[in-house]
Amino acid sequence: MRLPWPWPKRPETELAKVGFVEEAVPEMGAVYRFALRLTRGDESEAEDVVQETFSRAYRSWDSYERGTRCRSWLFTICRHEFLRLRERDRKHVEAVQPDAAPDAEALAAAMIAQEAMTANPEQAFFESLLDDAVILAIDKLPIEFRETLVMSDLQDLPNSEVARILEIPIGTVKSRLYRGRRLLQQALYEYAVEMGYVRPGAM
Amino acid sequence: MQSGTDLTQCHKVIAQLWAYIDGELTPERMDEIRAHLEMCHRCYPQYDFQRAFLAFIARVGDQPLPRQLRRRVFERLLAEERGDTVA
Repeated sequence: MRLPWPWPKRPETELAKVGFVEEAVPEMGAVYRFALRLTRGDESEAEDVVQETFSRAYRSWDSYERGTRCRSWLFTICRHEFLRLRERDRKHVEAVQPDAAPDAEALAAAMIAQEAMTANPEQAFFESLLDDAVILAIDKLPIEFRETLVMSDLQDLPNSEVARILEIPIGTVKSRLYRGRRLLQQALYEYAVEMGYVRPGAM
Repeated sequence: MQSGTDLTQCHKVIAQLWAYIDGELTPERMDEIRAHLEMCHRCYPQYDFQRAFLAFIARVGDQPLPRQLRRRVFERLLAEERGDTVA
């Protein structure tokens, strides 16, 4: 069997801008997963966002300092593209929630955890939950809590990095993150109770 | 186990548990909380729960990049580089 000649070139080898393929392209999966949570699971919209993100990133590649957290830089662009496309398509942009008090959120979560642990001493209640249920609960969070939680807890970025991407103070990152976590725990616990995985008050 | 830890300490520790798990506190405070957790039967289970919860949600949502998307991104970048106008 004769192979076709010349061998088809991988398209990325033809991109001229130095370093883009090495640094930016490997982040495409992470950017897609981030976009998927911004769009609340709308795959088609997320794909559009990813396309726009990489187009803009390629055009602005000169403004990026090589070797300095490319993923964060791409996430910043991704957010802007997501909001821009929403505005362009006159789609609903969610209302911003008032800021939370981080300590109060942590203490509220502790109360949920206490109830959960009392009802289910052997196994943490969330271990019985399906991924889909968790993703659904994350997607239900208001956007500023959702994007903060996704960047911090799913993408494993430190608070300082999230602050840079969102262009907000670290304190605000903390309060949004903690509110997001508390709301998520609460939603998942209520779901587990509803599904009968947990029977609270059975003391 | 000692019940010597007083509740005001526990209250502060619980309020800072996430910050502790995230490593977002000063080294001194991290040490203080670590020492407290080692001997507090009230706070340790909370720490264990929150640590497990964060580990749990970290694993969620590992969707792979759709192959078509990767190809379409490249096609568009190459087209833009050649100067083809994209609608």
